[in-house]
Amino acid sequence: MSVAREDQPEGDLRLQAAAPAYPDASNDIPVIDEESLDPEFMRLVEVFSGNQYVNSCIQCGTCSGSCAFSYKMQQTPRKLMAMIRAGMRDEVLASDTFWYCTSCYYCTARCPRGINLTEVMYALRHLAGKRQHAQAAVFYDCFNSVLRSYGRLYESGLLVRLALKTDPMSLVAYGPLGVKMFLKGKLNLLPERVRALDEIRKLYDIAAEMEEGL
Amino acid sequence: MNFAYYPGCSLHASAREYDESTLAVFQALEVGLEEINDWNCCGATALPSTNYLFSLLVPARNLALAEQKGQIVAVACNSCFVSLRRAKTVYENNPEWRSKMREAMERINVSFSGKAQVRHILDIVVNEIGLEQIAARVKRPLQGLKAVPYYGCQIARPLNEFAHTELPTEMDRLLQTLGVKVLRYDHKTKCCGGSHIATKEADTLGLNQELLEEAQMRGAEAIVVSCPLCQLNLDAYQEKINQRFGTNYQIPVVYFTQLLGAALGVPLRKLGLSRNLVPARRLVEKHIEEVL
Ligand code: SF4
Ligand code: SF4
Ligand code: SF4
Ligand code: SF4
Repeated sequence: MSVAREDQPEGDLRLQAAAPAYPDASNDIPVIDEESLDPEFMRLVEVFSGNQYVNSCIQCGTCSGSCAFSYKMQQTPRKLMAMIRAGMRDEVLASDTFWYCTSCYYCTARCPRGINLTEVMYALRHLAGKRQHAQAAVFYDCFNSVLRSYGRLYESGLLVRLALKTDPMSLVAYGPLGVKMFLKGKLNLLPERVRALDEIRKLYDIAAEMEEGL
Repeated sequence: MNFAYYPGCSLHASAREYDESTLAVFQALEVGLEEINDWNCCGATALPSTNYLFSLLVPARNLALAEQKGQIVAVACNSCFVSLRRAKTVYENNPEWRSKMREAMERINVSFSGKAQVRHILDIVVNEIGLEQIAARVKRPLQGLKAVPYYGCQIARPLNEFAHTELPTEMDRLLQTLGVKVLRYDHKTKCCGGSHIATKEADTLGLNQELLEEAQMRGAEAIVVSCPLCQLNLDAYQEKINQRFGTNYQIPVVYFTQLLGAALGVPLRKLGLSRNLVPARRLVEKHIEEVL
């Protein structure tokens, strides 16, 4: 239901439509020089997304329309797909779009071409890897290292590692909630460990080795 | 019936009441639930964000452990459910990565065939045990409790096979069987932002404010969930949301297993009802008393 705003005459819908409500509504795909395109990039994204067929995207925008964070992203999911296909590697990997993805699978459920966009978003994070310093990237790295330390997630340990790497003062902000959780018996002070931790560490090395050169 | 129970890390920490109530409910229903020995974290959304193959192997190790016992895996956390299913689905459908997964598992001497089935406990309760069974065992119906079912995003999405991807009805029907008055809830599979609460707090609180707002608007006395992360965001952060948006929500966020347990006559102290941060115990007591 739309409510006419006081400062705009109700009948004048065309004027309202002219102002882009989403970044996607403008025509701001940058002009780029063809030399900088990476023809290999789309293939890499396809490999690390478990072989999604990026080329089958019909640019319908269903993904963008379904995503709760489209309005925050530098590029909407639909536009990102076009950029991947064009080979705009550096622009894509510098985007914040895939760091906003919450893995809600809405786009995936609705894509008429059966593309698993959630996997595409994961693949982009994986490929952006260390070059990206988004706070989300640091969070996932800390999670990964906690997992290799204990085999299980240790929530308090993860938050401390994250804070030390980003903003130590944020721990103070967690304080009151942490105390409450502790009193309700919801906070572990010590991590649980997997006995066969060496299996997990070996899997990490083996996976890294097998992915090399793909 | 005997299931291989995969609690996941949250159920051993911030979602302890989900673990307690799940175990109590399965015991009351006389369905075996045996925790997988030496299970490891599934990797959630974090491992796929850093390494592809590793993110498939980590959950695969859990599947391998369940497979050795020939059991169906019963999962409580939506996110664990997706991680385990994701590994299984890639193994089944993608020959290129299947051979890599197989080789890696062979190199650590763990036999793995991807055969173990993965099911969410909500699916097991509604479709395996069945609502007729449940109805026959309800001792204390939660007459008149008004609630909205919040499934969260990941439980229903593609490849999960048991529920409609956008408008599932499993929890609705289960709650109705318990005597709960289930209210309309259009946000039932909208995302709560998950672990983004740790890195994009302001944006994530916004998503949760919308979820709480519809619950309030419908007149819900409780939000019923099936995922520890949804529960954390809606419950533990409710006060922060109130501060930030100038709202005044006081809506208990309970696991479906807590209500199911109460209705089945499980003693309330076994359901962890005093662990929910927005007090939930009184509400459940009130509706039980009305019947007694
Ligand atoms: S929904 Fe699918 S086909 Fe449509 S734009 Fe998005 S990726 Fe492309
Ligand atoms: S999975 Fe990611 S990109 Fe897709 S709709 Fe959800 S948040 Fe948006
Ligand atoms: S999803 Fe969360 S709770 Fe479940 S195993 Fe993974 S990290 Fe642990
Ligand atoms: S709703 Fe939230 S916590 Fe639940 S599965 Fe989705 S992101 Fe995860």
